[in-house]
Amino acid sequence: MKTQNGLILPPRENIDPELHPILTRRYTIVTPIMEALIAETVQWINNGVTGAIIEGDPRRGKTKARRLMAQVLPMHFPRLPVFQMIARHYAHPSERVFFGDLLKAFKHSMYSEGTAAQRRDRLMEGVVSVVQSSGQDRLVLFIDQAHRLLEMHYDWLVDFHDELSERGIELFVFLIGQREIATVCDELRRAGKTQIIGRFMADRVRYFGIRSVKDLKACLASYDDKSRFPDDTDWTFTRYYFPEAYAAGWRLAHHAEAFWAAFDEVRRHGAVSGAMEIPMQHFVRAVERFLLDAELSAQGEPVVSSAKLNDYVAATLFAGSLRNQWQVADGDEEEEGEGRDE
Amino acid sequence: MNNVISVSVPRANWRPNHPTSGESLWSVLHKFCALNHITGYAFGRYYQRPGFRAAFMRIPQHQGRIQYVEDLRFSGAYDLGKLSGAMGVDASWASCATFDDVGERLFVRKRTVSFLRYCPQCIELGFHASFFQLADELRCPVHGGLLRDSCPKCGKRIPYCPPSGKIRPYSCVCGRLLWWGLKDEAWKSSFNSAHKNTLSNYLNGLFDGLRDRGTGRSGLSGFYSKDENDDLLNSIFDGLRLDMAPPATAIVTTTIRRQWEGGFKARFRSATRYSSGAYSVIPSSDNGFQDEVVRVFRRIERIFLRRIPRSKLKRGLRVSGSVKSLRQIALAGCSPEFMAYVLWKAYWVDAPAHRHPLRRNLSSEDFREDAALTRSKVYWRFTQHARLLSPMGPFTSADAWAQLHYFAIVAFEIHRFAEDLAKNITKSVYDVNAYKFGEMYPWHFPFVSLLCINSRKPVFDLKISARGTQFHEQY
Repeated sequence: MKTQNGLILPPRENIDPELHPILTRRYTIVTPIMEALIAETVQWINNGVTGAIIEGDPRRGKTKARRLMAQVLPMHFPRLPVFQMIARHYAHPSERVFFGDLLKAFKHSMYSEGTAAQRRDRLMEGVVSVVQSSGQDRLVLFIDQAHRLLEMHYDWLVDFHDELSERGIELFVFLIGQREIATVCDELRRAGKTQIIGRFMADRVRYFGIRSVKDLKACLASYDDKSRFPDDTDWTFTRYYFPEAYAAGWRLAHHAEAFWAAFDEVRRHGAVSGAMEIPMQHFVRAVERFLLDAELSAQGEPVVSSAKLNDYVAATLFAGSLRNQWQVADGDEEEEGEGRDE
Repeated sequence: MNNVISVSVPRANWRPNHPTSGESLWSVLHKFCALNHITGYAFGRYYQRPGFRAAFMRIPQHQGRIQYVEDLRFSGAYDLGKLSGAMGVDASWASCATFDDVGERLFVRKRTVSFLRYCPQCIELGFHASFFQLADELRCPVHGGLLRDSCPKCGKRIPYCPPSGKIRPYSCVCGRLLWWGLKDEAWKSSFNSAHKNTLSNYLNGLFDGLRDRGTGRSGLSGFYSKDENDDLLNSIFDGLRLDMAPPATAIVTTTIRRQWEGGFKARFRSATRYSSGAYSVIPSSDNGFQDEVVRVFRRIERIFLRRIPRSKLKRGLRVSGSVKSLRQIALAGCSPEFMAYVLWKAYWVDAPAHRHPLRRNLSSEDFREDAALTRSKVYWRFTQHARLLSPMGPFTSADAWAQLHYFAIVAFEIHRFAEDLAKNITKSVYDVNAYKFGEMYPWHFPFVSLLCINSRKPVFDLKISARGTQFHEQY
């Protein structure tokens, strides 16, 4: 049986509920900020901006966005090599370890072998061969948790970047990290490290969570229309959990304001100040609870009650998370203010 | 994601259009290690087949020590399928890269050499074939040149083993790089299509010749079992090259017959004359003759320097015998070229066979007049003699091969002369440390022949003792 989208719709009983992404939590909701970030990244690459910072508070979905960008960028630039690296914290950082991590990011099997120079040469050889086989003259490297990078790491990256330039290959490095990375950037600027700023920190964007009802609606619409399991069927998440209601035209996105109100209520109840911003993790957990636990009315439609939604949102510890972040942010601002007074 | 838009990332570094068909495991492994900046030891850790035993061979080190290294004539514990996967190439190259399919290891080891033998032109293109290691192969089927078996710089044998901390990829122990293109950013294709066809035909002939003699089983190892008669194996192996259709540039084996009559000096006056030139005796266009020369020369060389049973003779013939004989050779009026050659081989080739020249255990009787000299001075005198006597100046990498070729011709004729002469020798055998020589061994031929150069008598005694080979004419 095929739906209007041209996709098949096998019997619901054939789909193992235990493997559903809502339970396994292995899925990605494409948010408006993600789409904007992808468009921005494409622009950077087109304009030859070899590096930029993507900063944001924790639990906003930066890592998910990084994985999605790694998948989507080759669609904009066919056969573009895209690699991802997670910066680690080391008590004793060294060139040898850093290039080992880079080799691991480039999926080299012998990433833990040899001295620093050998690893650097191995990395260079591997990168050049991959880029040449791709037919491109550029490659993209995403570094997650980039706020952990130290100045020496940037120096090694500059060397790596320059060596690739010598061979006619352009390296794009996008640094993804928490807001501490902005501090690192400012310190480098004050220290006059323009060779690092110019290469890897030419631009800076902020990654947010959900900040408006419109964003929330778009995210909920993903559950209704875009997220499917199995992928090649038309079993969207909403259709799978509420099949009768979905057939009758019920959609999660129609209740975006109720969800927004629930988050706002919990925030005000927790006495959290500042602008409203919903971290993606709390939003996703609340929606998952709703899909799994919602009561159905006599017509088979899920009951959207503010009390239940408040419970779902509160159970994600939304208010506490926000309060912690604001406290940290306020503390930073106070420290900076004291520094200026002195 | 669609493979068209996403690029596949190999698990290890490798270059496109490599390996070439017929390339040896030695070549592939050294290239792989060079590209990935690893040693053979690290390679073994990543690409090892669990449960398989590695093939080892022994190579001599300084002070009589022995080192065990991986023998790349066999894949051993290496997982070539996994290696092919990491390189992103089809595993078909591995079928001709080793001698795994040819027979038992013992059989292969008897028919192949344990050091690197290479075509100088092929290796400059970054190519080495496994069949170059066959002892009977003398020429490259592609370029037609003679194969070399020592480093062009230091003259030492290059072990046929993976790279290590001492041996860099595609290099000798002394550091001489055999293929200068190894470190280029892009490797050029080794051969053009004509060369590839020649090589392919040659390889097919080589391996089909073996398979045709099989019993119908897929593997060859069953056919070449240890139970088979050795003569049968010899006949198969010897007939291998004759059975196959020769490719365009392959060698045609010819039988060389003795062409000159008379004494050695009369026949080789031009050859033994000082600075007479390397190619004046035998025209270089006579490939068959050169093949025969090289084959005989290698046999002499093996006998002379490597296959003397040192465990029995101890230092009798190992050091003092050969040295004393050399002195007698010099006194007998041997050509300076040949003397230079002997010194050169004694210094370069014989040294790793048991000991470093600096630490050679020379007896004072062997060098009675040099008793006051220290070992280093003896060694220095050796090298100085070699340099002074060399017809082409100091022994450098450039002229080493030319000298080798020249002396190969001389040695060949000496050997032929000695074979005839040996028939007239009355053998008088003496007990030497309870060891007896029951017959005239082939390795005596060079000694005998050289000692007989000035002899006018057809019959004489040869005495082989712990103090060296002595020569007595019968009157």
